[in-house]
Amino acid sequence: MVNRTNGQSTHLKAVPKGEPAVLLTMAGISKSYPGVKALSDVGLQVRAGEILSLVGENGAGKSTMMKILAGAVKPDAGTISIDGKPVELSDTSVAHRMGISTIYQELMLVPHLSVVENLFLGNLVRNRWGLLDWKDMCARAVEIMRDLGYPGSIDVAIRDLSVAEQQLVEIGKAITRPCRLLIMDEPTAPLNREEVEHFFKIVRKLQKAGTSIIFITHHLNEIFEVCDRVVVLRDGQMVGESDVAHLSESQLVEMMLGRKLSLEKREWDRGVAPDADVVLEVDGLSTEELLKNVSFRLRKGEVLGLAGLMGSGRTEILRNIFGVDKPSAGTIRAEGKRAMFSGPRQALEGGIGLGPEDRKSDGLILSMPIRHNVTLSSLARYAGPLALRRGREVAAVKDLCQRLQVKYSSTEVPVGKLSGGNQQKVILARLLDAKVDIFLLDEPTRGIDVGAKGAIFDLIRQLAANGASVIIVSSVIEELVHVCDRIICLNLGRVTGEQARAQFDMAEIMINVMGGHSEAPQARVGDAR
Amino acid sequence: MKERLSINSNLVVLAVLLVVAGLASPYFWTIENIVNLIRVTSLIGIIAVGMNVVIISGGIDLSVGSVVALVGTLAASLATAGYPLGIVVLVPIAAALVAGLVNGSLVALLGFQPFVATLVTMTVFRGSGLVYSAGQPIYADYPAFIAFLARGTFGGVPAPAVLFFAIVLVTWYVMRFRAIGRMIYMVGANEKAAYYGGVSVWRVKLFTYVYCAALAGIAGLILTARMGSGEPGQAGVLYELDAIAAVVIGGTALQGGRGSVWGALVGALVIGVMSNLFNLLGVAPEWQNVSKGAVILAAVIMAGAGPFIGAIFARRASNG
Repeated sequence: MVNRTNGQSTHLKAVPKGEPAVLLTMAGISKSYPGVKALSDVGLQVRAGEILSLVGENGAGKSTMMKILAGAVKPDAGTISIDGKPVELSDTSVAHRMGISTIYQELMLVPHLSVVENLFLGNLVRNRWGLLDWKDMCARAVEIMRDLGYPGSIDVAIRDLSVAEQQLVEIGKAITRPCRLLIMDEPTAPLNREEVEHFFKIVRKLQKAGTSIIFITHHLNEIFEVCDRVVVLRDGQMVGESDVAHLSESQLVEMMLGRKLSLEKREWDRGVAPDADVVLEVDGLSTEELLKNVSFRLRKGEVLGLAGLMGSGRTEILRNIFGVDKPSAGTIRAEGKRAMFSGPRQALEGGIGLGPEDRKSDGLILSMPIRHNVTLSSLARYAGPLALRRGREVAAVKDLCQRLQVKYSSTEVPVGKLSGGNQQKVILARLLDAKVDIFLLDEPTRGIDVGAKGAIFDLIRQLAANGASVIIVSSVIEELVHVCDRIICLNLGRVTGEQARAQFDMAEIMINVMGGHSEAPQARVGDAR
Repeated sequence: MKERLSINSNLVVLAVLLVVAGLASPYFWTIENIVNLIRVTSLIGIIAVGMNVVIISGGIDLSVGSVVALVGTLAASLATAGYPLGIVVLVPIAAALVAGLVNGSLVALLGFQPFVATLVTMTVFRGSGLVYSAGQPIYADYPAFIAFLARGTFGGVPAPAVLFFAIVLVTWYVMRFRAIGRMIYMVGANEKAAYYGGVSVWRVKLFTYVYCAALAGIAGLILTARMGSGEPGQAGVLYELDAIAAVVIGGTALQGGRGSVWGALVGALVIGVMSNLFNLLGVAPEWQNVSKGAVILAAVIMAGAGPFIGAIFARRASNG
C-alpha cells in the first residue's frame, strides 16, 4: 500500500480527513481473448473520492479493465468487491446500479435527440401515473448542465453541439443517477486547451462531491495536473502504482515502457535541402465554409506539420488535397502537374495517400482482416488472371507488418481487435503498399501511447529519409516539434505562421495556433525568433 | 469461422424441416416430388443468389420480381412474333441488364436509398411490362431450347437446378476469389473507409445491381418457359420477399459486409421445402403466406442462434 500524505495539493483537501475508504477492489483479474492474454492477475484499488489515472501503452489492457468494470466484459478469473462486499458485474445495468458509470472514447449519445432526452435515456423519470415526467427531467437537466458549465439550451439536438459540449452531456448522463465511480477513456483527446481546462474543473468538482474517478489518458501533463494516484499497466499486468506527488514524468514513462525512452529531440536536425524538389504546391486554397487563401509548398523528403485546433482547417486542407472535398478557389499541383483530384482513387493513383482523422470509421474496415485492410488500396496489383494471388498478398502483408512492427497473431485477424497503435500502423502499411510518395496523416497518433507514438514518428522520419514527403496534422504541438522539418500554424482557416526546424518556438506556435496574430497573418510568416 | 457456424445452423434448420416434411407427408420423399421441389427452388434460389450479392454490398433490390415479369413478357412476345432463338433469349436478358443499370445508377450515382430506388423501379418495371403487352398475358410456343430450360433434365437432374448450381459456383468464385468480390464485402462493411481507401464505390454498387438483375432475368426466362406464357402482371409477384427471406435465413446480415452464397443456397432450399410441403398438405394459399411468415421467423431466430447451437455441438464434440 502506498501511503497518502494529507494536504498534498489543494484539490485533495475536500476529501474527508484520515485514511480514505476503499470504494472498489479488483483482485486477480484475468482475461484472455483468442490469441491474446489481455489481463493476467491484475489487482486494483479505487479509493473513495480519488482521481486515479490508469495508464499504459496500447494493448496494455486498459480498455479491457474498463470494460470489465462497466459490466460489458466478464473476466475469466478474479473478484471485484465494492465497499468490501463481493459483487458480480454481470451486465452493464448491474454496474449502473452499483454506481459505476463509464464514458467511452466514442461518445454514446443519440445524435438527433436533445440534450435532456439523452441525459435521461435509459433512466427515464416517471410520475405517479407512469407517464414520463418531462417537467422534472427538464428541471434536473437544467441544473445538472448548469453545474457542468454548459452554456446552451437543453433542447438542442446533440448533433448540433461541439465535441466538448457533447462530452459534458455524457458526464451529465453519468451523474443523473447516483454515481460513485466514473470511468473515462481519454476524455480529453478531442478537446482543445481551454476545453481541457474546463473539463478538469468539472472533474475536480465531481471529486469534491465524493465521486471516485478513473481517468485514462495519454497526456502525461494531464496526469500530473489532475490525478491523485496512478496505476500503470503493461502487457496485461500491473507494473506499478504510485501517488502522483511522489512521481516524476520520467519515472512514469519508464514504468509504462519498461525501458528508458523519451520524446526528446532526435538527430534529424539536418533539415531538408532548400533546393529539394517541390512535390506539392498549394496556392490560394479556399473553401466556402472555412479555408481562406491557404498556400504552401512541400518538398521532397520533408515532414511538414500543420498545427491547429479543431476547426482550424487542418483536416479540410488534407481532404481537399486528397480529392474528398472540392475547393471553391485555388490550385493544387503535384510534381509540377495540376492535381485537382476528383476522389481518393485518383489521388492514390497520383501518389498521394491519406490516413484519415477518424481511423475507426474512415480509416479501417474493422470487421475485416488485417490483410484485406492493408491491400485495400493496392488490390489491383494482386489480381491474377483467374483469382487474387492470395499467397503473394499474405507475404506482402506479413512483410509490411514486420517492417512496421505490428503486433498480430495472424493476417486474418479483424483489424478491430488490434490496439489503436497497431491499427494506425495498418493504415501506414496500406499507404506503403499503395506506393504513395506523399503521405497526408491526420492525427496519426491520436489515442496512441508514448511508445507507439515514438515508433510511428521513427517510421515517418524513415519514410522521409527514403524520399517520401509527409504532411502531419496534429493538435499536440510537442509532437509536431518532435518530428517535423517545418510547421505551419493555422487558425480559423488561415495560415497564421510558419517556422522551420531551426527556429521552432513552441510558445510562438501556440500563440499562432490560438489566433494571436490573426490580425496580420502575412507579417508572421517566416518571422520566427 | 463465424460464417461457417451460421451455415451449420441453417443446415440444422433445413434438416429439421426435411425430417418434419417426410413425417407429415408420405409423398414428400418421392423422386417425383423431390425433382419438382428442386425445380421450383432453383427459381427463387437464382434470384436469392443475386439478392445476396446486393445485400452484402449494403443494398437491397426490391425490383427482382418485376424484372422476372418483364423478361418473361418480352421473351413471350418475341417468340410469338417468330424471332430467332438468339433474339428471344438475348433481348430480354439485355432488358434485365438495363433494369440493373437503372437501379445501380439511382443508388450509386444519384444517391437514392436502395430501398426507395428499387421500390420505385419495382412498380416502373412491372408497369412497363403491362404497358408493352397492353395488360394481357402473352401465350408463347417456345423454341425447344427455352422449353428445355424449364423442363429438361441432365441425367435426371432438372435443367434449372443445374443452372442454379452453376450460378452458385460462379458467384462463389467471384465473391471469394475476384477483386470485385473482395470490394463488395469491403463496401458493405464500411463504405466510407472503402471510399477513403480508393475503392470506386459507385462501380462496385453498380456491379451488384446489374449482377442481381441479370440473375433475375435468367430466372424470368425459366419461369416464362415453364408457364408457356409471359405474364406481365402475375409473374414474379412477391419473389423479392422470398429472395430476401432466403438470404436472411442464409445468415447474410441485412446491414451488409457479411454473408455467403452457400447461405443463400440453403436459405432458398428452406423456402422451397416449406412451399412444397404446404402444397402437399393442401394448405390453402392464403394460409400458406401466414404460416410461411411464421416459419421464416423461426428460421431467422434459429439462424441468429447459430453461434449458440454451434457452441453446443462444439462442446459435445470436444467432450466426446
